[in-house]
Amino acid sequence: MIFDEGSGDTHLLDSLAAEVLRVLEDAPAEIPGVARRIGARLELVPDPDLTARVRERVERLVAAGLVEPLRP
Amino acid sequence: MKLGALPVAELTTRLARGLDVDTGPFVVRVETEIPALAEELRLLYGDFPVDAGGGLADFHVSVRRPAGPLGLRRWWRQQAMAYLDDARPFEPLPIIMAVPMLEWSINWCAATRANQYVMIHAAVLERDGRALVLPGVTGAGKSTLCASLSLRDWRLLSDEFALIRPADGLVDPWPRPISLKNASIDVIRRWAPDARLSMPVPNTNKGTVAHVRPPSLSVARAGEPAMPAWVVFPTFARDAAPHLSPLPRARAFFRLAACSFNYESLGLRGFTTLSRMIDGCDAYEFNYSSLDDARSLLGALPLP
Repeated sequence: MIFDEGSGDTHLLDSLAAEVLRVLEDAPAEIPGVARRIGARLELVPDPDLTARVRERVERLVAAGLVEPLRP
Repeated sequence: MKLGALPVAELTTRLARGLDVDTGPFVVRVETEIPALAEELRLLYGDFPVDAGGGLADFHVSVRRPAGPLGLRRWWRQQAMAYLDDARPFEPLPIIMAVPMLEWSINWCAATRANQYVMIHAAVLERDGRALVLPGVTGAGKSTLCASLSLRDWRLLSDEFALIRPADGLVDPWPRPISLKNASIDVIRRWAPDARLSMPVPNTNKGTVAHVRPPSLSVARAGEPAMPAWVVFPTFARDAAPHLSPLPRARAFFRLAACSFNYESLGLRGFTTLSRMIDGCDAYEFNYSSLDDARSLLGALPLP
């Protein structure tokens, strides 16, 4: 569970979304990079399925206003 | 001095000028010239101290007959109107509804102002130093359960408000009268024939309403807070077998926040207070149809 001081909203995250947020708190990354880092933290081999699930979580976190894309 | 120690005539005179009633966390200045209300106040608030705030009151509630053009309405239609400081949040109601109106007014004052607390719409009871929080949506049977438990093995902290202190997570008692509706009135009369109830008021927007005088011991201990141990979401279902099912803490958190009067406005303080509370509690959903079952199951809840 997290509280966003900016919006005042409270969010319930599943464990993968929480991992995504943790990784992105450390440093910005592209989605495959996020999947790699999560794989490394959890000792998993990144596969297309994990990358797809990470992409889906990132999109939800963006929609909730917790993550924003970096503009080049 | 306790309110009940004032003779009716003196109480009536004092109420006309405004009487400070120490309800625990709040001193309420009650002002009324409606004689029937004085008698009911004596019944419901008899154990509460008066004049304890040193002339300072947290809320000023006046229930009186509204003056109309030329003062006519005052006598023509027997109505009562609540004035809360300068606010008048309610429409005038028939004078017979003065007691529920006073109670709703005091609730309104707290719900809109007491932001020193995280406030949850919940009944709270205490046993062996730990608090049971029963958040309630209307019709879930929260007040009936609260009345039945507080008239037996549990201390009443509050029927309507869990007042959670952000500094230490303790719940401050506010042991005011318990509001019963419709069939619950007779259920509680049968459950506790010695319980003292105000005169039932029919045709309110909640149906027939009566209030239970809070147990004297609970009022005497209104200064003793308690640490929450259990958060139980009750649902009354006729003929249902009693059943307690554990609720994941994260789900309990969101349901608790949804029952809060001020979670949204407190920001991070609300989040921190509620999450710490939920971390220290076990949460359950509870279906019941009999007060005896509820008493034995809730009385046997293990400590978290």
